[in-house]
Amino acid sequence: MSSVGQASGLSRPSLDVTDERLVAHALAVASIFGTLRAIVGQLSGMLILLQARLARDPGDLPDIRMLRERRDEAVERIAHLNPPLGRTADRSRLQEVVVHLDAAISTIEQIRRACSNEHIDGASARLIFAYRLMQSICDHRIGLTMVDTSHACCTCGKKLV
Amino acid sequence: MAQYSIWVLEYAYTNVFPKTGVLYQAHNQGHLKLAYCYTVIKGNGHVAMQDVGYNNKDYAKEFAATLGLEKWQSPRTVLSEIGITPEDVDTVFISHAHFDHFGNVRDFPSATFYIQEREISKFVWALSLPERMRFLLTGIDPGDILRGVELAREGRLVCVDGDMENVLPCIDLHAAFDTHTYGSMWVAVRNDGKPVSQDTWVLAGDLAYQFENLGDSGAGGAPDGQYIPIGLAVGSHTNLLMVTESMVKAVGYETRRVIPPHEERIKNRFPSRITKNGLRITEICLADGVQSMVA
Repeated sequence: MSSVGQASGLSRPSLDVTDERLVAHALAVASIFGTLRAIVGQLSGMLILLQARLARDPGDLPDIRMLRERRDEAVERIAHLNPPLGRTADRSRLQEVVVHLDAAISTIEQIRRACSNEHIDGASARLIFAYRLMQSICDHRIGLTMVDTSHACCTCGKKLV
Repeated sequence: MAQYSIWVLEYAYTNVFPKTGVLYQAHNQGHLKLAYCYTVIKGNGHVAMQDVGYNNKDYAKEFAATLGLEKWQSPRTVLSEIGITPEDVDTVFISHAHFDHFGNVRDFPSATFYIQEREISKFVWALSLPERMRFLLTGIDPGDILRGVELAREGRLVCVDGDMENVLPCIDLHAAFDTHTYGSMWVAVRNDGKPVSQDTWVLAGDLAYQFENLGDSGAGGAPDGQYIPIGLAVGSHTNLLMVTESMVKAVGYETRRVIPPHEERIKNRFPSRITKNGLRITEICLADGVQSMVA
């Protein structure tokens, strides 16, 4: 099984964080990013609970219908993104994230009928791809991180670029 | 007769942590040094840890720098200071799923991980809430949960339901639901091997950051002040204080025996040394016949 966690890019082009178009884009993407990040986490947690046999089928788990609604909202917002130069890949990457999440959701729904290691492996592989794509979009300079610490105690150490 | 040795190992630190984050309502009282640590418990043929730190590779140094974190070293480097390797670790107790406690599981290929089932299930619930509720997800990296899937697939993730006695000989897990997180957990080491121990050590995880959380003004004896809750919690202050009482009671109200791994000042109570990488090792206790790693 391929694993999570190649490092996000360490060498980045410079960013003009006073660029209004960049700021507007960052705000738009941050919301989408947060939704997709939450979906990755939610689906991952479901896979743990299924494997632990604490949920006998996805019916014991949070309603996937709500998750699909959030996914749909994210897709619509992705379509309306207007990324500036330097961030033009964001939309296509986010769309690709959704493709992987859709596949993971479908696999988890199939688990309702039968839970096999192949289902677990298939769904988690898709989530790993989605997570890696999101990591490639991450840029703490515009608030895109895989961990939200915006209201955590430790953000006082945050240094402005 | 002492069964286990316990060391608190610093793997990074920040000098700019706001005091109000560790002591509720300590507003405008400046910043302090916060150590980022994991704890090793060794004895009875086991090498166990409470927590595994965060994954600097995945987060990249720039993210850690934004939080003012310094001197991160890998588990291999940190553990070598007490003569063990990550592969030696057979058991890990995850106090809670925040990124700086659950982030480095892949570095421990031989370990079985214990986490409260409620920590997973309630965060799955919190992840399903609208974006405006995202405060509840502070400090959670979905990648850590995803790595948990890998552990579960390998049969190395045990979802605990509440308290668990003798998870290892004379080591008990205690649930602390709806406190710092939904399924936080503390560890009690009954080091004399007795069911009603006179030599218990409690590893508090993030349920206490500072001595003052435990009503300890510095003497390390019975609480001589009120309990003060920590700053960040998705649960309630009531629950935090009730758990604090449970932890302090477990050590016979000798507060020095409750170990907050983030507390820099444990160096003033227990033998310690600074490694060549500028990080601290603190030796809480030694099993019979074991040589000091800090002398």
